Amino acid sequence: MKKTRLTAFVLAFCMALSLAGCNGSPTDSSGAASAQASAGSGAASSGDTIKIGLIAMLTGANPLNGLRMQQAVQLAVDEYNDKGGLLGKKVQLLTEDDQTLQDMAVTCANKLISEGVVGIVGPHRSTNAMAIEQVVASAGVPTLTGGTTPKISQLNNKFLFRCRASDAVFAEVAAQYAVEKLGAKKVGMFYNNDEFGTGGNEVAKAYCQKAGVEYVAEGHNTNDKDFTGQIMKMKNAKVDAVLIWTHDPELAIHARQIKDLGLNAKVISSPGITMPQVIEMCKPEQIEGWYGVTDFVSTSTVDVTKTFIKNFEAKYKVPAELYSASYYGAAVSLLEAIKTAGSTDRTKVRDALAATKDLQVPVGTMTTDSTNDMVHEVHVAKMVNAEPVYQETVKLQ
Amino acid sequence: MTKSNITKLAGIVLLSIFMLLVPVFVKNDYYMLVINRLLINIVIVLGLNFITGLTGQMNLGTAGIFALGAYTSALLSKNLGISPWLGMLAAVCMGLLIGVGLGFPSLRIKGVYLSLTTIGFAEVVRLLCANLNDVTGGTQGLRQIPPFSVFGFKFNTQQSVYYLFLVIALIAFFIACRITYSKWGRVFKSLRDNVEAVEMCGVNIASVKIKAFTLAAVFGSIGGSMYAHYMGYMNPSTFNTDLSANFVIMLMVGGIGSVVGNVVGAVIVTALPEVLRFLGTYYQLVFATIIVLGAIFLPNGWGDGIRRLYRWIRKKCVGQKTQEGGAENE
Repeated sequence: MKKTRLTAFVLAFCMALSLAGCNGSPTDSSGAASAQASAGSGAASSGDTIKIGLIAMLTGANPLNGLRMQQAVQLAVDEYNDKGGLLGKKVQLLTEDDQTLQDMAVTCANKLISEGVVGIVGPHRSTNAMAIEQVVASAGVPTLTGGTTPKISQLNNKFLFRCRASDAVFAEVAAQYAVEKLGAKKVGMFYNNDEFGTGGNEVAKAYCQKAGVEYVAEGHNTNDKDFTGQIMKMKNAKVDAVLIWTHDPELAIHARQIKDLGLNAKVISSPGITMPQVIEMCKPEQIEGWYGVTDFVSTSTVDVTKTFIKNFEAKYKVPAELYSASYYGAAVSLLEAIKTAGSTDRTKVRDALAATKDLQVPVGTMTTDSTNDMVHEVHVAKMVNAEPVYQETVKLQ
Repeated sequence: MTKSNITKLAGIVLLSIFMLLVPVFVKNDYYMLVINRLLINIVIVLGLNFITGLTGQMNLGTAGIFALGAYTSALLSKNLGISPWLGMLAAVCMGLLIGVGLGFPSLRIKGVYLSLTTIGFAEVVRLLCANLNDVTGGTQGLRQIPPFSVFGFKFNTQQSVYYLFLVIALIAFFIACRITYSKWGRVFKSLRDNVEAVEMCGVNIASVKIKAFTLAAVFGSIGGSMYAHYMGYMNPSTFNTDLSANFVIMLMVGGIGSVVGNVVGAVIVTALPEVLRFLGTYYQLVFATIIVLGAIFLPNGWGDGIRRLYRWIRKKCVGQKTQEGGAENE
């Protein structure tokens, strides 16, 4: 009985502590405010603030990524508020947690819509974006997702925008860079047999055919541990440059075996190579001189990106990364669209988002096309001493 | 008609009016969405109660049952263009198949090993859904699943879906009640308490266990079908082990073995995190703490706690007179 009481006491203490912590933290005050606001009417633009929503994974499998999303969007909102707000009103951010789950994302979208947000930033996963697609379309709320599957472009949803480059753009840029900048006459491709890899392979193949460059491709499966066969074939084919389109563990094994087997070709990899989790799996000399295509390079020399990195680090004391950079851009484009529309009418804001042109954000230049894709360029980084060094930004024609 | 019967009837009438009027007062789509998800969960937990609650066989594979029901119904109605109702019927058949398929192995294994087998079943289903790209749409999921419709009327607003799901949940509730208090229900319970004694009485244990599994699978598949046609989109990542555990939590929170408790558990576990959302990132922590505190102080579930509270209030209000009435109600 004593034990039971003790457990209960400890648990109750935990709860009280968390409640106290909740009140103390400034970022969560928006959450509390949202609950009070939920009793209000469903119309956008009610009251003296402009509400924008964020669906992020604050709990569940990837809470850190969700936190970075929230921090970045909050940074954008604060910057606009410091400049006097939008349309003479303050901007208020309402954040909801989707736990990276599909039905939670739908719940969050409905909650935000009923609270009268002008637009929604997130959710991050492509699958969650597809889950809320119908909800935001029927409610007519402009939504900016960071999901990268090419399928999002095929949804034909007027209200769903994409604030990052599609996977297809990455692969085409990689092939283009190999041919145009690195002067490859014969391009090789190691691709994963899943949707991501085969998608990349199709795009790169189409580009090389159009450019009149010889193209050799070798497939492998997720969880394969040995690529000797594929690498030797590529060596015998005497390729000048080779692309690798696969996931993190396979990428690290490729790095080791390409070095061991002495394949002398310039390597351009899918975004994984610029991320710490892959770099840590490889020895620096194995990936020295490799190129990677990515949304965000921390050593970027572009002014907007440099300013964002500085501000983010100053405010949160952590380095900016992919998630914060992507969603800062999404928030800025949404806020700019509200400004351009001169109104909080959701349809007008959607039209303004659809008309976005040459807006500079940390992940590149945003120009909305007919499929509501906003970013059509990615950055190329070169690995120098296990550190991705910004080379240039490549834009698709 | 005795006085307690009249009170009961009045209670039921009031409750029905309340349930019918919910969409009239709740205009907010978010609240209706939570209520509709709640109704789906109620159906599934009522099914799980047969196997885990009454028969005492720990089933951690509800997500697999749910997924098979959802995919069967969705794929048939999407690809073959048949009515979602027929899809739901197919899901029921799928439930029967799963029940027999899962019931047989459960005859030989117990306890932890049965839990592991059911977890394995759910994972196999999830991986199949994720990797059979051509059939299930793979990890990208299945889009544009048609909603339920009756004579051309489409259940595509939260309010209309509410009435449909309310009817399904009520039917499920009454079936669950009838079965629990029938011979089947009593055999299920006796199987949980003392298998040897039941066998000694000449009861065919194998057939009883399979019946319990089949009931759970049929309810679960119906829930899956409701989910698929309601959401209109689904992907395999939804049907993970967390989801299975969530259903078991609903069962435990409400009170294992009690039909009313199932409803209470589903309500608490579905609605409480939404109510706590105002706490920002701390809501999961607070929610978990409340559940653990509940497990310590209300070991028979919140349903039992509510019943005790109700009796206590009645005792206070009516005094000595209800002593007999209280005994009758048990």
